[in-house]
Amino acid sequence: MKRYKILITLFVLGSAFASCSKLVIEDPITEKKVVFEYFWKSVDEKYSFFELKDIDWDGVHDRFAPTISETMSDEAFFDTLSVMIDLLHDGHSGVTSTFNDHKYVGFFTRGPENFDARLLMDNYAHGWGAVKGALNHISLADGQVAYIYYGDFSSTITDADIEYLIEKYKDTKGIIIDVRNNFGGAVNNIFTLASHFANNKTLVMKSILKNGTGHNDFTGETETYLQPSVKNYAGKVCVLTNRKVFSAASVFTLVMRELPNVTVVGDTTGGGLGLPIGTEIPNGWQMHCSGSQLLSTGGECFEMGIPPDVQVDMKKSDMEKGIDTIIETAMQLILKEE
Amino acid sequence: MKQLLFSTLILLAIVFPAFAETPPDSIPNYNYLALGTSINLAAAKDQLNTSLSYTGITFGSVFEFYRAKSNRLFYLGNIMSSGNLHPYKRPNGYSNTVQLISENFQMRQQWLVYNNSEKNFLVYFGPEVNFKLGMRINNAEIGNSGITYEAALSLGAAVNVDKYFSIDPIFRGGTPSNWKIGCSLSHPLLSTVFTPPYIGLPENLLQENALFFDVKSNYSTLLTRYVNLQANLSLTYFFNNRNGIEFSYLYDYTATYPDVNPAKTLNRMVFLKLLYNF
Repeated sequence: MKRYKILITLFVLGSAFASCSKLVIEDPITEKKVVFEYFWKSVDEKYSFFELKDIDWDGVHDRFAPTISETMSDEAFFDTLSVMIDLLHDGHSGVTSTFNDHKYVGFFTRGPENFDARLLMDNYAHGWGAVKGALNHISLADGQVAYIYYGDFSSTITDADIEYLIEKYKDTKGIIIDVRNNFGGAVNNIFTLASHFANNKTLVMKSILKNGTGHNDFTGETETYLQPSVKNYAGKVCVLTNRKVFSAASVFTLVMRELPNVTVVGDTTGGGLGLPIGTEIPNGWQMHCSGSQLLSTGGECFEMGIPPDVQVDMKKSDMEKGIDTIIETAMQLILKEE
Repeated sequence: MKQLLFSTLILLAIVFPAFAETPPDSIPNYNYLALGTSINLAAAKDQLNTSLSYTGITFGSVFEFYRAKSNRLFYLGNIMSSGNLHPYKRPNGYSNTVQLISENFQMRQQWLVYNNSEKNFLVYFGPEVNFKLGMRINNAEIGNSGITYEAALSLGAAVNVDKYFSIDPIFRGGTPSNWKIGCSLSHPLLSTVFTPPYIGLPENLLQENALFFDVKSNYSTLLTRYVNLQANLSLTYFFNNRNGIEFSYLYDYTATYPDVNPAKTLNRMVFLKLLYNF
């Protein structure tokens, strides 16, 4: 009898624990209609620019829901979700499946290319001989102007890298920081680089984050300040931009434009001023989209692109002569006597 | 909430000393340090960044201190574990890893509430302070939503049941034998729980030297919004020099229920511990 009691107790305890396991471990759902609804709802509740871009996401649901069937191929289903998420017009949005990826890239077709890497190498950089960390650098205008190219914010830059360049080019009249064709990367590189061009603690941007399921559910504004670094550059600075300046590179532009000695030259950036967030949907695919808004100090949202202080496009006639119109404009601004 | 905390503390202060009784000779009297390793069957589901359940095997280590004196049992323990989980049943062949990291610190002061000296059967009951951190690093293409966590500080209750196969050398003046079966059960009563905010990112993310944890994103609760059921079953063999070796199983279920994005984690851990008597 005693043994039976022990067995019954163990059975009851085991059953209880097994039930708890089912609370955590659930079978995945691959029915396309279920996945579609989860995908649509995830975007609906997380995306941060519906109002700004005047997107009718309910209308998107009504348009695409009838096209979803369990008999459609995975490829066709993936293409449908891709078309849906492209309607956000956001380079931070996309869908990833087990067989294909899709990202919105329309942000850089809103203007001319405004960058020619080969022209730069042949006529200015002479093969990019000098590289400090992730920063290519050369001197221009007989040593009066320093030129630094930073092509990927995912590549780590250090204070030591920048301090070396500031020391090397300390006698120049100005520095050109070229971030054209920089699609972004890590946020911490923004501060590492920008802090060497700030002389005082400076308010550089504000941010609001989604904090609820409604399209207008946001936190209050959080202010971001830039602290000056120990070793700073005191001369003029020009930041060069084009439509392929996106995400962290756009944020860098947003930060630098608040500094008094900085002029942004070139074309409007590609935007991307919402931090990308995402989720795994029930069939094992993933979606990502913006979940916040980064604002200028004046409260403006430049998600569709930050306009430059000096708008200039590369001229075809200049390019035929091996001239980068945007670099030349920046050099003129630096060399111009006050 | 402060009134609730105060009331709970008063209640615990009144109730637990009431269990104190004059100890008979057969109650254990010892100090032990335990060190051990574990292999864990783990599962997690976090609605902030996934609709999928993840399962896998993780590995851990444990450090414990026991002190039984008079009719009281004091316990201090720390369990750490980490490892990779994978999507349960891999929908569409989906391959991904979630690194699961768990840290659990517990401190208990229990009183002997039942003692059957003929059957060498003891029951301890008392309050527990528990700090638990669970972190999940999801490597999927989900932007900045890859890292999720919960950190909870709890005041709870724990019951400990020990059945000795013999008395000496653990018991004073009993018949010699070397085995113990023990089980314990604990659950938080009052908790403060830190979880990621709605989109998983802290408001101060875009600050220089920003913390990843958002200290503003937390809630306090009684039983309803934080569950951490821990059930332990152990078998211990004591050597003649009073040191011992223990084989145990811990069932550890954690669930957080913030306003949005609940998360659940299950660790089923098998431990092998070496006990040092001093």
